[in-house]
Amino acid sequence: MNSETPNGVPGGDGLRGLSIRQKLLGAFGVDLTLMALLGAFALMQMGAMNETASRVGTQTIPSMRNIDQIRDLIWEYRSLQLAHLVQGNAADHARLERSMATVEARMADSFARQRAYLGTDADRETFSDVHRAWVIYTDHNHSRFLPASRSTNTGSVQPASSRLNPLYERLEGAVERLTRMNEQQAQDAMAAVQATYRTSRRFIFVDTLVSLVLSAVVGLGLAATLSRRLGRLTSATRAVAAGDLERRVDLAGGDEVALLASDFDRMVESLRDQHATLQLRNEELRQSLEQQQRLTRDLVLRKESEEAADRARARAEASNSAKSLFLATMSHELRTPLNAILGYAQLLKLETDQRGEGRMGADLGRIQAAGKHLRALIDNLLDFSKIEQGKMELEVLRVEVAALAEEVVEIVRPLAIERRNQLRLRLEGNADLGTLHSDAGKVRQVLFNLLSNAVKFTEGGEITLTVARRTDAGGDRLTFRVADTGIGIESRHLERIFEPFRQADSSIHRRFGGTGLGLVVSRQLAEMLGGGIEVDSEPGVGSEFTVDLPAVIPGLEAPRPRSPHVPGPRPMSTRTMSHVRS
Amino acid sequence: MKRRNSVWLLACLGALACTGPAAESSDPVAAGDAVAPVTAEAPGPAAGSSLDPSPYADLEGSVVVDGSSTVFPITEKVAALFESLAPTASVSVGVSGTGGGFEKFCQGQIDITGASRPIKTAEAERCEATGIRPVELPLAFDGLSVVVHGDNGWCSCLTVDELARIWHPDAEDRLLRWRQLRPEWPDEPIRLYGPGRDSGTFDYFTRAILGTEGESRNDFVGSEDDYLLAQDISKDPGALGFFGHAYYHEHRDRLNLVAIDGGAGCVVPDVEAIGAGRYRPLSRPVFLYVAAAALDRPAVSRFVDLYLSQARYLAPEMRYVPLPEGAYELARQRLTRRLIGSVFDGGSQVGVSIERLLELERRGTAPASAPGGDGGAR
Repeated sequence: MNSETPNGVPGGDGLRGLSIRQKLLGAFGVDLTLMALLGAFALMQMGAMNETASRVGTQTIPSMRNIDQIRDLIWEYRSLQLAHLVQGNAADHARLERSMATVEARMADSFARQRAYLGTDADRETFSDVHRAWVIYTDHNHSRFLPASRSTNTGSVQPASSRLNPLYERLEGAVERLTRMNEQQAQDAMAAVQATYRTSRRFIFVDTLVSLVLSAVVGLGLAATLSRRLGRLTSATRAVAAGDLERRVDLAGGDEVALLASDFDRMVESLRDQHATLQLRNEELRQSLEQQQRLTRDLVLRKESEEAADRARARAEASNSAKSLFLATMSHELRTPLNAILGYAQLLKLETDQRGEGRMGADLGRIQAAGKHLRALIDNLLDFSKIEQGKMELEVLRVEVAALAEEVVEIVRPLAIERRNQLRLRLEGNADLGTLHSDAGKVRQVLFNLLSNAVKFTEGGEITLTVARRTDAGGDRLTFRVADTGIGIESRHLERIFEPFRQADSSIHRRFGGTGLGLVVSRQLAEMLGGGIEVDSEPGVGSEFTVDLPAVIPGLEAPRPRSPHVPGPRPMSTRTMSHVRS
Repeated sequence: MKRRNSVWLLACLGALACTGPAAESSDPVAAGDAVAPVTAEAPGPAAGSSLDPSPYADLEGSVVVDGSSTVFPITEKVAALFESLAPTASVSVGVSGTGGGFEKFCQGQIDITGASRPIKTAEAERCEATGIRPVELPLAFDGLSVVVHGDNGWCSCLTVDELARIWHPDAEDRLLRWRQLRPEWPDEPIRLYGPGRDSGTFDYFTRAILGTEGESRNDFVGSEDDYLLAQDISKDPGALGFFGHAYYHEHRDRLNLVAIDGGAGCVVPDVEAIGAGRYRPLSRPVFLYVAAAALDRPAVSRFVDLYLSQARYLAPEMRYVPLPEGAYELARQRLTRRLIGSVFDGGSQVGVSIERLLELERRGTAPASAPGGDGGAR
């Protein structure tokens, strides 16, 4: 994938990186160059041939003709000499000698012409041989032959003529050399033309062949490559059209097809991405649909269960209400005789004390205590059932917090002393805790419950009530903390201690007695007052109950009964304050 | 090497001509050597100064000369000189060989004939039969020269015996290679060239070498035209030939001269050897024969006169050895007295020295007082 060069920039791998256009242009350029080369070469060679031919035409051929003429003139001269020998009379001799002079003049012309055709030094030298031989020959002719010939007519041999032979041979030889030289030049010219022709032919052949081969190679190669590459592209296109989005063309090179292929690949890639996204969306949609269906189903189920719960709650509330009513009625009914028992026991005690009957007084005291305890139990029960029934009324007053705390502590102090406990009150904020706008009786009851509870589970220890006032996001609040050094509560029981009719441990119940409603009522009261109770304890070290109350009960203007609520196990961490906020 | 030797010898020859006993004046010979032989107007200072053109001015008619090719070169010169002196007269010079010349001469066709040997008895008789009376005029001595091709590096000297072996009739178609002559010579063909049977030179050669005139093998190339012979020999590396020395001289750049051993070592035909009679047996006198009747014509008379006066200048020019002045004087006397006949016995005389010739001439001329004039040397 990275090996592709999407921009079509020619890579380092030579021709493969070139585009088709570049390749075609390159091949065309090479062909053009070869053709131009061919043209230039042919022109040059033809120029050379033309030059040679024109030299042959303007020099060699006229020169040969002229040499033929020279030869003819020599022959003519020679025949004139022979005629001169044969002829005996002076008139013929004179005529022949005039003819010789004419031939000599014509020869001079021929020589002058021949000089124009002389190209090389060798030409000139050979020609000058001819010329010299001719001059010697004619000189001899005039100086020796003609005088001898003029006077010769009777001899059987002709020494005057014979004497000329070497000179004539020399002349003829020189002319022959000149002729041969000329013929040689003609042959050289012909050979040069032929050589030029052969060279040209070879060059043209090679050049044409190279052009053809190059064109063929480039054309066929390009066509084959192109068709193969396009074929790959086509098959890839078909495959993609048939749905194979994983198909890639992956064409190397930098030509247009490679560009197309890389674009195609990218297009397919994009298609694949979109396809994947679409599938994802589909899946999400499907899941969402399923969830919606599930939710709808759940909703229906919950609705059904809620209705069932409502019905159950209504039933439970109804039965609870009936129970509470029963309890309230029962408590009230129990209080009346108990009050009577206690009143009479009081009276008895007063009488016995007056009479001094000490032993009886102690028993009466026990009756009285048991009676009080019973009444307390009943009161609690009554309170509880009131609260449960929502019949507990709040009597909101403004009280001094410090006084309230001192009062409660003083009430409990005898009990504490009785169990050899030290009871302390600590007022934070310089004892200026201000006032509490709440139901003081209930506050007092809560604190009393907590303190007497602490005393009950502590022996020879220390109990401290700490009161503090603070202002935070929840408004102006008061905190009452009751800490003891008693037996403490195991953490697994912490949740249960606020449940009705429970104590932390059933064994405790047996040791310490009590209805088990004290903490329940206390919490319910605290909650009624807009606060809550929190407990923190460590077995063997002690417990600390914290009551958090608003300085002013919210919604005081219209104090309303707390909505009845089924007390049940609540999710509550040991450290979380358990409020009920209405 | 050979050629250079020849040239040196020729130079010697020229020098001897200057100092030799035959040379009375060194000037003409030297001038003749140097001056181009063609110019008839300058035969030599001595000749030119002594020539008075006036006697020739009004000469008319023709002089017809023919005969020996050996004499021809001198005759040609004289004819040219004569024509320049006597423009109104004409000279015709032909070459037919000594024999051919005598034939025409005796038939009265010509006035003068050159001869490279004395007239034969038969020829003299033929002339007598037609009434032609020949006047014999000795001209010079020629060293008949045996030559080979210029590239022939082996044959520089031949004995008379070898020459005889070569030219003997028995050698015909047998002696065909040089090696047959001497074993150290190459096995190359030997081809013979010689003057034709009309030639006096042929006659003399056969007489001198083989003993009998005209006795020779026949398988040789013969011509009365020595120019053609010289040209042929100069083109044939295996050639051996002979002719008058003048022709050797004219072709000396292409021919080699062969020295002849006549029993006293190899001798080349230079002026000294010929003059001293050492070039034997091929030294020989050459002659001019004039018809006595023709001498009545002033042109002929003047021509012969001129000839005799110029012979001693022209002969060296042609590399012939001129005769002592006395000999020309005797010849002039024979002319004046129209002495008929030859001082010789007829035909070729071998081994005739200049002294002998002079003696013969004196003897032949002396009885000038003899009546009739036909008291030849017989």
